Order: sequence, then structure tokens, then C-alpha cells
Amino acid sequence: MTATLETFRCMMCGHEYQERVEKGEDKERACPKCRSNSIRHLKPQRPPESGPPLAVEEKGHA
Amino acid sequence: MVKIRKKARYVDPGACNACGECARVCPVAKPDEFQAGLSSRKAIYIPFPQAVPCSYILKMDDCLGNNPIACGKCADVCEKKAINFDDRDQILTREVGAIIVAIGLDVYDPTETDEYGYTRFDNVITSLEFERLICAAGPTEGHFVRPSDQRRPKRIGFIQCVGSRNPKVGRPYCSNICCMNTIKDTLLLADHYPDVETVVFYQDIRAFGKSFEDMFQRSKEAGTRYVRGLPGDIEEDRETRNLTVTVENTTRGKLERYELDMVVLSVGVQPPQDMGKISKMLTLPRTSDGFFMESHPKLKPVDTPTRGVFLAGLCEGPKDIKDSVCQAGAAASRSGALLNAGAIRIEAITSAIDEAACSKCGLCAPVCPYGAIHWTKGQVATVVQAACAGCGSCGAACQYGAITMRHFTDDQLVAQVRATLAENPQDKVLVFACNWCSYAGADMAGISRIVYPATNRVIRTMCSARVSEDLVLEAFHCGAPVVLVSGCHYADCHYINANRQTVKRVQRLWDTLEKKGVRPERLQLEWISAAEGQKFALVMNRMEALRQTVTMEEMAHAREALKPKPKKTVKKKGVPVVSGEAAGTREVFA
Repeated sequence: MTATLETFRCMMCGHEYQERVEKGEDKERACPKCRSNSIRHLKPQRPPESGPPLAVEEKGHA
Repeated sequence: MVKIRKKARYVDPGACNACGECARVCPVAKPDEFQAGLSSRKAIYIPFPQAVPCSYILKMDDCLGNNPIACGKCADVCEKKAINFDDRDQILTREVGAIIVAIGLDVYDPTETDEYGYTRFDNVITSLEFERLICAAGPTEGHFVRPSDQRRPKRIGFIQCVGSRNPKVGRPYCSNICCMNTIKDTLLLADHYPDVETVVFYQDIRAFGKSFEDMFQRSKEAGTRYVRGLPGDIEEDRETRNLTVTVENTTRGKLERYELDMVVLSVGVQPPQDMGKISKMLTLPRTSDGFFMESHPKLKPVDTPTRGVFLAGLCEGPKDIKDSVCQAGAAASRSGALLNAGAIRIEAITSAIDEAACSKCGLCAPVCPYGAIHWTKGQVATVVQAACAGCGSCGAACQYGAITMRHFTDDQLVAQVRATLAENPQDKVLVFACNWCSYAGADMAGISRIVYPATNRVIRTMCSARVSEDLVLEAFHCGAPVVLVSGCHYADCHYINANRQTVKRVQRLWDTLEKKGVRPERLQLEWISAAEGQKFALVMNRMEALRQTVTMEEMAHAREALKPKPKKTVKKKGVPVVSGEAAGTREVFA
């Protein structure tokens, strides 16, 4: 079973925490601080898209 | 229609007269599963003495084959010519009106964690192995001997709760039957061998039920010693093969040692390995322990959320023989009532698909927990009315407004939202509550006279999965400062697992609100059960506190940012695309 460390945010008290999530797990979530069920799964931010490749100046043979 | 795999027996039960000649000449010896591996069987055998039909079967995995060089001896000696090596599995098709699931249990295997030296010490056995050893039809014909030297043990210890009430091995539940099984075993030993000393190590003896306490008292009177505490360690004397058990006697508060000839592990029960397959096949929900979940623990204890499927025995939860028999009788009775009815009465709250509006996208089919929506690529989806339970998850998933939930139509729900927020919306918290749990939780708060803010306005849906994204956005567009979506706890969902769709939708809504510049915290999600009146009141207090933080500017911005856009419509060849209110369609939000 593969597990990843995921970040969650409580939409009631704002508490952010990380938890191991196993692939395909079916679990009711509650904020460890205030017990609210309004738990938002924060997806990892995508890295900024890379631009066109930088032009490489070709050097002539000496 | 049900397809059944009838496994090949390789022996014709009509011709076989169980003379046993085939087994006598079979050269293969394998551990006998029925005797818990304490004796051997042949490749051709009768699974257990009381098997019906009383005829031999050939286990092809163990057989050397019908090659005259390799073997084929059984076929040579069979006078009835009952053995057929060319037999094959058959697939039978049957039309049935009800299914009773009674797939039984698996016993906890202590080899997994080598509990109490089970894999290292010969004289540590399980309660199932004890059962075979003391049984007259067992491998020792009822003579109780210890495996290391075949001598009769004089001091026997029983350790309770092996693989039960232990979250560390993933089994936090009580297996229900082990205490009484051990008490029965101690009485059997006292009856067969009055000179045998027995000691039971336990954490609690659960002797509930008719005559059980009496049996427990009789066991103590027969000389069985009960020590409260589970052993921490077992050591073996290499010469005598006796076992020394170290245990903290929690009644006396002392560390004690017991030298025993034999230790019996009272192993718990667990759901069978194939449970997942059956669960998927029949869309049956499971509890956190892994057993099948009934429709209602008190009112529908043998029914399942899938109509026409009933439960009996330990697949529903650990129970003894008496309870299993009661449940089997109830399941048979419920099935009989269903089959004899001729026609079944279904709830009027089911979904219906407008074929003209259906885009054939198929989004509705996977969200149905009952598999009641049939869809093939390029075809209009159809609903099996008898299978639909009316959660409304499909209606909320349909982007084209093609699915109507009878009695909870989009128009009806939107009208409720608009009417609720028509006046002074800034003073109201809009609550979508599921019929079975959250709405009943509100009732519980009311009848318990629990005080909570009067600013909430509850709109009832059958399931929280019925609450579509459009409906929530409509509420914000109408000026709702806070919207709460509430449903059953995961384990209590009355529509198998429909509330998982609620979670997905709320997650998407939080993203949408954030993109539109609306504070996502204004949308909340809570699981409130019918018994949680206190929680309902607590949540309402929190919602009111949240409402007071929402400014008029925020509400005005939400009204603007979440303006309705024309609804998606189906493009058809030669038919002009119509959209918007002019075409009589519902508004949706981008």
C-alpha cells in the first residue's frame, strides 16, 4: 500500500496539518484541533511552467 | 440474473458410492484442512465426514494426473467408473429474486505476528486446533495429547483475546464468541480429564446471554482458575517442552509465573478474504471492522442497502451459533416475503432521466452507489427504478439537468433556497441537511431542549450527495453569508457511500469560491448523526459566529461574482441549440 504525506486545512479554525494518506483510503476526516469536518485537502502547488528553452550560442571551431 | 461457477469435482456424485478404494490407492498426502492440518488427506477425499453429497472429490492441484506413467490409480480401482479427469468448471445462470449473503468468517492467524510463540513452540496451539484434538472425529479420536510428545497434558493455559480487541493488529473489535468457547473447553476438559489443571488468562470475561453466566460459574466450580491479565512472555523448557508463562495478575497487582504443559490461544474472528469481491459485486457497504453493514442495526438487521440482498451469520459481524441461526431465519423470512409478494413496492423518491436532455456523457453512472444507472458509450443513460434508492447523487452530478429526482427536483430545491433567502439573507445561515442523520440530529437538539442560535434555515435533502454545486452557488448568489452542507458520518451513510460524493463536490466548491474571490470558509461541511443533538447545536453556534464575520461587501461581491450563466445543452444534428431561461431550462453557474 503506497502512502503520501498530504496537507489539510480546517476551514473552520484555519489549522493546517499534514497526514499520511494511503492510496484508496476511505476515511472520515476531522480537524485535530477543533474536530470540524470542514477539512480542505490542499493540493501541492504546480511549479511555474518553464518558458522556451534558452538559446545556446554555438561556438565555431577554432 | 446470477452467474454461478460450479467447480469441477472430477468425481460423478451420482455414481460414487464412497467406498474409499480410490483414497486407499492415492499416493499423495497433503495436510487436511478440516483437521486444521493436524492430520493428512489424499488428493481424492471427502472434505469432512458429514459432507453432502457423501461422495469423493479430486483436488486437481494436488493430483499427479491421469498420466498412466505418473498415476491414474484411483481411476483404475473405481468399479463405478465415477472418476472423470476431463471434468471442467461450469458456469450456471439462474434468475433469482433475492440473495442471502452468508459467507462466514476467517479465523485470526497468529503466525502473522508470532503471537505467544505460536510458530516457535509446538505446544502452543489455537482454539481451533484444540477443537480438532478433543473431537471424537478428530485426528486423535478425541484423545487429547500435546503435539510435541503425544502425551496427555496435565496443566493447560488458555490465553484470551488473541487477535481481538487489539488495534495494533488491526482488530479493535471483540470477537464475541471466544470467551464462551474457552469456558466450554474448560468444562470439556474437566469432564474428560478431571485431574487436568486449567488456567485462563483474560482481560474481561464476556459471558452475556442465556445460561452463559451459569456456565462460567460451573467452570470455576470445576476448578478452572481465572487470572485477570494477558501474558507478556512465554518461554519453553527445551528438555521437557513445558511452557513458562509470565503474566501480571491485575487483580492482585503481582507478577506471576505459571509452568504449563500446553497453551491454547483463543483466536478471534475476522472477515473472510473474499469479502471485498462480494462487496463490489453486490454493492454492499462495510463497517470500519471490515464486516458487511446492515441497513439499520435495530430496525433492519438482516437487510442491506442493496434491495433484495440479505445478510446472515458472521459476515455481518462476530456472533455465536444461536444468533447466526436467528439471523439466517430472519433473512430467509425476509427473502420469502419479497419473493411471495409478486410485485415490490418502491419508494416514489427515485431518479428519472430525460432522454432528450441527456448528453450521453455517462457522468451519472459512476456516482450511483447502487449501480442503478446503466450507461454505455454513445447511449442515453437509463435508471433501473427497482435498484434506485433515491440518494440523488446522480441528479447533482448531471451537468445538463437531464436527471430529475422525484420530490427533490432542482426546481423545488432552488425555489426553497430563493424563498429562504428572499428577505434579510444576511441574517441567515443556510443549512442543507440529509434526511436520515443531520436533519434527525436537528430534531434531537430540539426535543432535547438544547438552545442554539435561531438564525439557521434548514433545507432537507434525502442525502447530502443531492446538494449540487449549482445549489450552493445559488445560495451564495441569493446573499447567503454562510452555507453548511451536512450529512451522515462515513460509517452511517444510508446510501452506501454516497456522501463521499459530497466531499468531492465541497472540495471543488472551495476551489471555485476561491477562484471567484469569495472566502471559501463561508462554505462548511459537517457530519452529524441522528443522536448528535449536542453536536448540531455546537455546529450552529459556530456557524452563527462565522456569519457574524461576513461583511455586507463580501455578500455583495458573492452576488456579483456568482452570476448565473446559461445552462449546458445537448448539441444535436439538425436541431438548433437552445439555452437559457427562454428555452425553459434551468440556470446554472459557470
